[in-house]
Amino acid sequence: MIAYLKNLDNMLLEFHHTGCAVKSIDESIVHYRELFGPENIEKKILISSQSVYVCFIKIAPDRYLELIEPSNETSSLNRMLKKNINYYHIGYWVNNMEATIAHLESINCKHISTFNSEAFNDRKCAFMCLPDGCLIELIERA
Amino acid sequence: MTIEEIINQIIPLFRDILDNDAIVLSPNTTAKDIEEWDSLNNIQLVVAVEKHFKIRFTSAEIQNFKNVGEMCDSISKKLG
Repeated sequence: MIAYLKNLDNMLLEFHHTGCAVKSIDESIVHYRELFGPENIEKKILISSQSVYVCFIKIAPDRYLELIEPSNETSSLNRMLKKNINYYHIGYWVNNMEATIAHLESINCKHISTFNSEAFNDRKCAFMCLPDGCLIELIERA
Repeated sequence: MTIEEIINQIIPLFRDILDNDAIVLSPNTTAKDIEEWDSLNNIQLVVAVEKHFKIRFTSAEIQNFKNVGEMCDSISKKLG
């Protein structure tokens, strides 16, 4: 029934990135540049709807680490950083956002928000919470 | 279970998730009244409430709650 939502590897969700909260992307990036090489560090982008700056680091073919920095004092990320929470979500490609959200809700996942992300050329993205409380981000391919 | 009893049971959940022991709730309390209560914490609160009362909310139900009182009304109905 959900076969049309799956990719060529028969996966509903295709791993894209792990999201990691940091106090300063400029400070953290120094270390990742040494680990993965400057050619694999993308530019810092403001995601205005989320009140964060993000920077993607290529850590493997088509696999990324996303560094996320609060862009102002009101960002909810500040509270996470105070609690020393760093890795906090996994991002996945999906083929059809609306249908995937509906399917995930049918298995008791909670839809938090949908937004267009400057980091993905204004593609539609959504945050959802799995039944165990873990946070995932969906990124629509089309 | 009365709404007041339900509120008394969810206060510790709010204090734990929002990391603020000073939180006090009333039926009219909304996210705007509590600084730490944002969209991300909201879902964590909902998950904690679901686990505590062994109930399930749909995304539509969650989005329609205007205040703590409406959430507690829904809890009360689900508990029968």
